[in-house]
Amino acid sequence: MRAIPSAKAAGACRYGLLQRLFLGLSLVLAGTAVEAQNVSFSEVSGHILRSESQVPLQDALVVAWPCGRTTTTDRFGFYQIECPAEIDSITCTASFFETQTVLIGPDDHVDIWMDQLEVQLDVVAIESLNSPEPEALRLLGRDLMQELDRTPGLQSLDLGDAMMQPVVRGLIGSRVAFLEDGVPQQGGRWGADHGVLADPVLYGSMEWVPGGGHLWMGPESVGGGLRLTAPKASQELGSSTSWGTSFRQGDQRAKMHALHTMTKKNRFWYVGASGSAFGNQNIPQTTFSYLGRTYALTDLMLPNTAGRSNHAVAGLERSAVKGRKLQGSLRVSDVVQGLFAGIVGVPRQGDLDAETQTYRSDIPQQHATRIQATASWKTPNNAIGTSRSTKVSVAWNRRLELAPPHAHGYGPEPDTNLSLSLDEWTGFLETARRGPHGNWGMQLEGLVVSTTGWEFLLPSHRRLRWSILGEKNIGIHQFGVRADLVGTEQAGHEEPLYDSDGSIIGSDRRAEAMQRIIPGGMASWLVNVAPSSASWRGTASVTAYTRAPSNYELGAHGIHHGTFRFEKGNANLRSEKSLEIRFQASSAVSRVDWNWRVQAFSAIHRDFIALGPSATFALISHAGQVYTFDAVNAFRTGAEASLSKTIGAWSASTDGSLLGQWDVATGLGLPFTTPAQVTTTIGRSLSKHHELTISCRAIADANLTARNEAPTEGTLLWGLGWSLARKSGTWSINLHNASNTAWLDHTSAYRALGLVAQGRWMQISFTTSVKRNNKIK
Amino acid sequence: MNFSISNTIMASACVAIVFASCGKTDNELPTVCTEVGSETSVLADEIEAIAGTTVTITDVFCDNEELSQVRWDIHNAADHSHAEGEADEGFVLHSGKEWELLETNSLTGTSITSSITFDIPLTARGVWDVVVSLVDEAGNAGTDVVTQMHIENDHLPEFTLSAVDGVDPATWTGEPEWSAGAVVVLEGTVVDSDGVAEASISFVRESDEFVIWELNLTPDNAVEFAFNAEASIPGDAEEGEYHLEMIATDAAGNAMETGFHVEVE
Repeated sequence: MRAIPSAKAAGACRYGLLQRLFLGLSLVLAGTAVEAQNVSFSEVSGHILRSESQVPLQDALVVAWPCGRTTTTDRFGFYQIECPAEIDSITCTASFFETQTVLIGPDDHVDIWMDQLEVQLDVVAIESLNSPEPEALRLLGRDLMQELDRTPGLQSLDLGDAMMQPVVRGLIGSRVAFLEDGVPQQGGRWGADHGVLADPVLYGSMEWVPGGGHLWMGPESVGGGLRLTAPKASQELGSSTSWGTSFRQGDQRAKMHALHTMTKKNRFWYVGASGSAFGNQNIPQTTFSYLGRTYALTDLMLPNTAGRSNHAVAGLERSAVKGRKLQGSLRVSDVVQGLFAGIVGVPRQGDLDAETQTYRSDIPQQHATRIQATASWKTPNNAIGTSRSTKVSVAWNRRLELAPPHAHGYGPEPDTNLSLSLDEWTGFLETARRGPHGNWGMQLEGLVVSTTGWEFLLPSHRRLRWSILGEKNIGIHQFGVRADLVGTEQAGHEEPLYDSDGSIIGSDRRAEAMQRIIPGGMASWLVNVAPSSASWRGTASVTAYTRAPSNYELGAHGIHHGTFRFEKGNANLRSEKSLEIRFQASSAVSRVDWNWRVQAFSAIHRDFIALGPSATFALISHAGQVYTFDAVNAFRTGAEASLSKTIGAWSASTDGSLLGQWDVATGLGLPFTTPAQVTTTIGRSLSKHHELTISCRAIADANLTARNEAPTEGTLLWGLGWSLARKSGTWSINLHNASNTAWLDHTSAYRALGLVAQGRWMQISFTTSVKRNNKIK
Repeated sequence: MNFSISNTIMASACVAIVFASCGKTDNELPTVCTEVGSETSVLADEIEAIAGTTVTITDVFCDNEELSQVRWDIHNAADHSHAEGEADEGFVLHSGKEWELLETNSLTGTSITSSITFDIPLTARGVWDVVVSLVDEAGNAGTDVVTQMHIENDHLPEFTLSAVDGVDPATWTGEPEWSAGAVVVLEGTVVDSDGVAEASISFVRESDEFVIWELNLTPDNAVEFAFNAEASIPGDAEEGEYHLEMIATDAAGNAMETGFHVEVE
């Protein structure tokens, strides 16, 4: 063990007047009861931060001298301590960091940067949240779909392996931010079917952030967002290779992944890849209906949903002169998957026969490819703890939908299989200056989309967002402000209009060229709530934010195979305006007591853009009613809670969520509102590394429905898990939907066709990690 | 200073404010309210029609507040079924399946009579679905109402299959499955009042329209020609979807085509 002493103490900030001003404002706005203690003692406050990364240190012990009173830092690294007598020094202690004692001068605000002890530690043990959002929550699993489904407040829409759509508090698509190393995946994420391309096994960590109006996540995070973060350098020099393989009976999915990292003195690099092949999705169902027509499904599977997915990543991080850090990464994803033939045109029974080869799919088919290059540059903290960073990213995303040519009502059939092509270039630039008491920055986000194909859905378009951001930490308060300016333009589109005899009788104008400048922004106020007992801690926040309508909401006009509907945008839509309050709290981690977490939110949305049925039918034979994007006023509220306890070899946990979303004008629900659900898990350790679990996911009836939306019945889904950790690696078996229950997933568009969710599957997997350490000389 | 902040008051206030302003909406679905008994209504058990004639279907539509549109969707009934309002027709040899009609009409008021008039082409024979969809001004979509239109055709030659491998096709449930290398015996007749000039039967692979077996019949202008044919499925035939096609031309030059789907295993 070798310690590197380099204590620095800096800062002298008085916030008394400002703090009181905000306190008074908070009382007026929130109507909350605030109890303030009478300040008559000597008092010192400040932040405890990691010197190398500026990350606040939570639960650091602070002792004030000479009185000997103690306190601990909150998740912002903030402490506040008082003594009856004048404080002359404070001592700060944190696990794995060098203890420091700092003399107190005339200032009552003292920030302390702690240096890490260089010891041989498992990186996982000291890994902290990477998110700049204080409300971020860690997702621990490596299978994103399973992790989403067992996390209260989250759910996944299964669009095929490694292409999924996260549902956050009932919202999906462009209302859920999805960030890789802080870079949002943008573009064709509208609708229920255009999933994100990412495989979490190739990342270092994964977090989700509930709610909207988060400063650094951009204006898209209305429901919340997910952050995936690249692997980080290990605390020890050397290499680490993690790999795994799995097979899932049910849809016959076979998957492999490997991620190799190398930590050297001044640089760190990683490379990894994953690949999977999967067969048709197994479902316990024999018929389905489309446009009122009923078809038979043979072999208990959803035909032509097989496919393959491949992902790869390479990244490098190195220290440059003066402690600057350079990072770069390249990510590539490619997914090919069949589209269930029942949703493209009007199928005939013969189209619904399954391929005889397990992993083969035919048209209709989707092919999604994404390449993303990201680079960042960061300075070390200066004497007052301030650093600067710049991040730039460019991505190319292409999505092809291939389908048998079919006519749109009348007119000639197309002569190619390319029904829809989205070709997207996106760019992202972020600069930030971060300090112990606040951050500010700028974001620039661009999108250029070309659309082609005979199934017109939306016109080619461009979009540019420019935002300036700032946040300020004042004691336990954190304030954030962002101003956005979104500029967008779209091309016009028209095609010939045919009569029943095939003659052209006019022009079908599907999109008008337009340009819009849409201003917006957000303002947030977050309070860290930490009672003196330290038995729990949490946050309360209020945020007002806007979201500019997506280009799909502005310009769509055609049949959307993913939702089976004819969807029509509205170029005059205004920004959504929202006011949201949130609260979250969790108990201190304990092996003796119950551990708990609770989160709640309420949001009022003005001009909330909802897709609803119009009073007209589409003029296309395989489309029903026209669905239009309309602005409504909405109210959303919900809560999530978790409770867990370990007694000896037994463990038990229960997680539940409740969500309500209403169109205020009609009193109806918003479409696809996630029903209430509770997941209960009981585990038994058979030996030190040998565990068995049984779980039950209870999903309530979904009766809060939108216009023309049918309610769905609740269900019980049983699961079993077994894992055995050996030196060579970890074996595990998971059984999902053990009773092979046929159930309709209310949040899935497939439910509209009466297609049930995937049936029983059993997965066996093996994962391992090989480390080679280099001794420090 | 330590703060103890409860957001209960704020949440309660928001909920109260929002729900105080919640409105109510028209949730009632539009319906077909034609009096029962009309033979030219979508509510009829079935509609009889003859190819080459004009048919009018008339119905009354109702809504509690305001109707908006009715959509008539007439399409061949082969290869699918409708959950509501459709009888099981069993095995039917359709002709002219490509004929279909999609027409949308505007409606107003809370009750209105609306009709659709159309000509049935001379190429059509078999069963067609007539689907009526309704939507009101609020966007409520009524439950689809379905009936079937049986189209008789005296104009075209008519194929009838009495037995396939000794089994009456009327007893089939679902798509027939034949094995590669099998010999399938087809028994039936082809009939036309003007006399049948030409007739043929072929077995076609759907993936590439390749004809893997074909037989030209010799009706010699007979008014009714019975046949007993052996369709040979090659032993190396690919698994998948096929189509048994029956084509005939009468002495007046009127041609027809019919058939059914087969899965080869």
